[in-house]
Amino acid sequence: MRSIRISRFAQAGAVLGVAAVAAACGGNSNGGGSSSSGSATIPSGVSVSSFDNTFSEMSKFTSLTSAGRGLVGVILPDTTSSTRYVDFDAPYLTKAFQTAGYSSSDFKIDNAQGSDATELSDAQSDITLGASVLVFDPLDSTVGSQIQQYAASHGVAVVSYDRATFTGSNTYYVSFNNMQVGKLIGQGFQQCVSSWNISSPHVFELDGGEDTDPNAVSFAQGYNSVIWGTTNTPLSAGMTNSSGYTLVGDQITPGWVNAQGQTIFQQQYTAHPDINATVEANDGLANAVVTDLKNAGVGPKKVPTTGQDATLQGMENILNGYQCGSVYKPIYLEAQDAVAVATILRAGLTPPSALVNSTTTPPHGVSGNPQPASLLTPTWVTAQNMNDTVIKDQFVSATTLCNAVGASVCSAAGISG
Amino acid sequence: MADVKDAGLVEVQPEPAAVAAEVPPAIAAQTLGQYLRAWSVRIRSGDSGVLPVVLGLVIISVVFELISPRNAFFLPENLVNLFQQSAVFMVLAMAEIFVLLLGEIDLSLGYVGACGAVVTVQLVQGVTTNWPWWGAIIVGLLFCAVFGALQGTIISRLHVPSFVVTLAGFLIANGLMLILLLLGPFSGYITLVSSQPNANVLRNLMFGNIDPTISWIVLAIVVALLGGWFLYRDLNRRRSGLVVPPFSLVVIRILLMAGVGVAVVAICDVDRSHSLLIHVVGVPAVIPIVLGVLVVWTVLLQRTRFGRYVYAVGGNAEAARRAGVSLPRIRTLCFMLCSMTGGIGMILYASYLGGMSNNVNGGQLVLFAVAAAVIGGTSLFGGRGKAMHGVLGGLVIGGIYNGMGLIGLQVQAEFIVTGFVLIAAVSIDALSRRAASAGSAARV
Amino acid sequence: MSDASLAAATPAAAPVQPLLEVRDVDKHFGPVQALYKVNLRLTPGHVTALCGDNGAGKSVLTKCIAGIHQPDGGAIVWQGNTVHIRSPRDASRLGIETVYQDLALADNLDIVQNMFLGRERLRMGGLLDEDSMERAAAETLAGLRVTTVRSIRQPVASLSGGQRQSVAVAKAVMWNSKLVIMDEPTAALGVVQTRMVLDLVRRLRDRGLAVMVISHNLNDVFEVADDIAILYLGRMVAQDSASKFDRQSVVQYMTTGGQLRVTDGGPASKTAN
Repeated sequence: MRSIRISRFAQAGAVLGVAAVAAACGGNSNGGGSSSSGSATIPSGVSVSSFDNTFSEMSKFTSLTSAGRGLVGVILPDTTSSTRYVDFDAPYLTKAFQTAGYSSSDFKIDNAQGSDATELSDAQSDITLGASVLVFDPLDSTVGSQIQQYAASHGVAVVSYDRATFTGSNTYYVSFNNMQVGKLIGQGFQQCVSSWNISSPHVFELDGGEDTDPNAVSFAQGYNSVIWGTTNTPLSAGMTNSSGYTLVGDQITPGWVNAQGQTIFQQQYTAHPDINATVEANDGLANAVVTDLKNAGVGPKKVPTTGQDATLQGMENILNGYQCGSVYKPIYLEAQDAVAVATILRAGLTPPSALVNSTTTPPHGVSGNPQPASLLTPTWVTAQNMNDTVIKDQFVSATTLCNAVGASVCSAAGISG
Repeated sequence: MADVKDAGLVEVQPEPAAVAAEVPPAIAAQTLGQYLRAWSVRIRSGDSGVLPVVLGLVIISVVFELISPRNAFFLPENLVNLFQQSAVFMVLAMAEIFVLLLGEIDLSLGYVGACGAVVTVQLVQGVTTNWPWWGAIIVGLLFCAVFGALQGTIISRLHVPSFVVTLAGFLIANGLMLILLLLGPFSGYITLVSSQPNANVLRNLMFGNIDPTISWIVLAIVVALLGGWFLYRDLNRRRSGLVVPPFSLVVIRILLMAGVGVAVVAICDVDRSHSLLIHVVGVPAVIPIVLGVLVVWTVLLQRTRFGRYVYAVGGNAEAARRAGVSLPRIRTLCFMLCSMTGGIGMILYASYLGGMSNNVNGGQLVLFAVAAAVIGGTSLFGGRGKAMHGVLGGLVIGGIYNGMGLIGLQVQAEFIVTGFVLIAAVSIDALSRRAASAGSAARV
Repeated sequence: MSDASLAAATPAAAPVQPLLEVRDVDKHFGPVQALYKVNLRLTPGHVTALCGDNGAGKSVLTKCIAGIHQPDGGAIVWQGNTVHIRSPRDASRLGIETVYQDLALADNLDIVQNMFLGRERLRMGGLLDEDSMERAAAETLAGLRVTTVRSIRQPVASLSGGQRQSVAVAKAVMWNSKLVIMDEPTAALGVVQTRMVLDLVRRLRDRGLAVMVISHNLNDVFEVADDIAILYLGRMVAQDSASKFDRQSVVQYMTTGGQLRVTDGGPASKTAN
């Protein structure tokens, strides 16, 4: 990192003269880039399954960290769409950075607070401060492309965190495998149908916001491939499978709006009272359907529902027997994976294929190129493993959950809160 | 008037200090020394012009330079970022000044401008309409102008407060923006980052860099032309015995202009890239664009009949009406120009973002536009303000955001600081008004 | 009312054609009759004071002349021809300018800008011709000997009350006007400022303009007026040379519409009833 500047005096004079457009001439700053030392190597055997809740894998990165140059700037998108960014991502990323040997001046974590323009200006600031790698969770594809482009034009590597960016040629994507999420939902659903003794299941599927969200398509492809043996979505009614399932209907929920999902299911359930099994793309939609079912006087373990995100609401429905399970995507895995990829890029090296184990392709209607992706494997959470996963990770507070469902239900699941 | 000084004076009274204070120093002084004295009298009486905002800028820059990591604030690349980040505030503030001068407000500005920007960004998309960039900009701005003219017509013909009409316009434009975003196969997120030449032109409004050699040549020509014109005008007025500022002041102003120009081009010619393989140099296109808007709107407001009427309506609508000025016409035109300039600002915003999305906070942008105008020295009460105030105020708000981004403060803190700066600016506005009215009351 | 009523002090020589005559003008607003067959003569080179109590109809009459109201009956005769003044613009075109009590100045504009408001001069390309306007404004002010302002480029907000009045008057006479109507020109002014304005009124008269001053202040009226016209409840109860009145008689006309005690040297005629 070189920094050529003219004297402070010149700066002050220029400021007084021209207000803010003043500065020293000079001041070229080169953050890191390709000037890596040859000695440090990527920890051997690192892969997407190396990470766990002990963060021990990160400590293997310390020599690589000291070989790298420049700041790693992290930009999270907002605080309103989900509290995860404040409650989990920021602290887990910090822990991963620190365990990997970063000093506090080597990384910077910002939150764009839901503003596109703020997210981009945060990126600009980070690059000014000498960032050699940006890790960002794009608020939307528009700003994602722009940040990628801006970083590339300044010689800065980028990691697209949790949401993919399809511009550039090496925009490393770190996330959970959405197809895998869908498959877990499908498998969990099938287990549930047998354990709840649903005979000749008449299935209704409530998909996510496939109108705007490419991830929603991947989820549906995952569970459709498991249940019906096809990756089409949405499916047409009347489909059957070898286990005797019949598809009564499959509808998407525009924009993932739960209230709309609730209305959709209410109408379908009125029209088709024979529905006795359902698939939902997330916990919010599952809860919408559960609400409808309760209103219709349906008791627990009568109609399966599914979800993802391991929300408090979802955990309550699982313990109360209204939801089969939920896909849990431990954020500490994502945080460690992102820091690992960033650290490798920061040292000027290429991430190994065990870590960058896949590619992500732009969905229909989105322009761009396939990008290298590091896709983690999520977990299917039911009453049986809840205590060992979401509760242990404090992703959901045991106290709050047990207050909601009652101590006896909690202790039956082995949860003490 | 010197020749009639002795021809039977009506009544020569000693000048009360309050009266002296309100005379622009440039016209009350013959020498630079007198100018500085008149200037200091004026500042002490509360009418401080652009001094607070310039002072504020200096304080903000120095503080952030001292506390930011790497002392990054004055790094050339950060100053370029600062200008890019402030450009939208500057143009939106210049837009808002049209209606603030009338004593009105336009709350719809952000979303109306955003609608225009979405129209523009949609039209250049290669897979759909594939319009040339200039046609798309014209249609986008036209959309804004029509929207603004409709609001202005309702405000001026039906005498509905602008606050209410533009609040309705805010909601309507917000809805329209979402509808316009969802047109075409883009799922609501339309990008300019593509290989389409027309999309690239739009994206380069903000990030395109002008070759250093060309920048220097253009700068030299502009400074020579403007400086020559200022000198010519001044000498001409001096010859005809008209009111002129001290000659040294004219020279200082020209030198200052040249100095700012040289500083800007020099700063922009430092390589902003972080890689040895890539070079990012040159004046970003947004700088001449914003300067162009500034010059055109300054000429319109200061040198045309329309501009004069805008000030007259803002200063005393009844006097303007009696002088034959059509108030509805001026008001409608101002709202139209406000929205259209908002369109320019939001097209720059789209260029900055590399597209448009629903994550545009039009409400916050309006508040920042009003805040920038007021911080720059424009009065909320009408009649006082210049396009230049928008540029200075926009730089203050951009500076706060830029600096806080460097030190890693979150948006919460940025809101709070901006709020305090706004309160300071409005207080200065109110205080100078009070000082002025106390002065005239004392003279009656 | 005759030519003999001209005051001795008037510099212009008699006989003088009236510039403007108001003949039997009626004006009502719904059932309220504001003016009854009012007659008034304004002569070049004369200052006419229009007096009357509140509600006597002074401002209605003024607005009829200035084109803001249209009379319901009667006629307005300008230089011998009957005219219909339908707007302030019509009045300006004839050469009638009114300086209202609020002066109608924009505080944020400078003196030149105010004087040319609504009638700006343009150069080629549609831009304002500031130099030419500044020169013309300076000439007008110098002609009226308004020289106390520091600079004609200072905003009107920085002027004293008398200076503002002077600017408003200069603005009115700038356009080759022949009749200047001034509504309570001294109402808000101190002694020195009042003197300044009254001097200005005399100077307008000396330039051969007809001036009508509406005033409550009898000191000012007697100091500056050549003729006095008195309205009482919408009727013109007296108009004559100022020398034919004294303070007491004016007050009586204003408060009772006539003289209780007829004195020698009282008004020769009542113009309306």
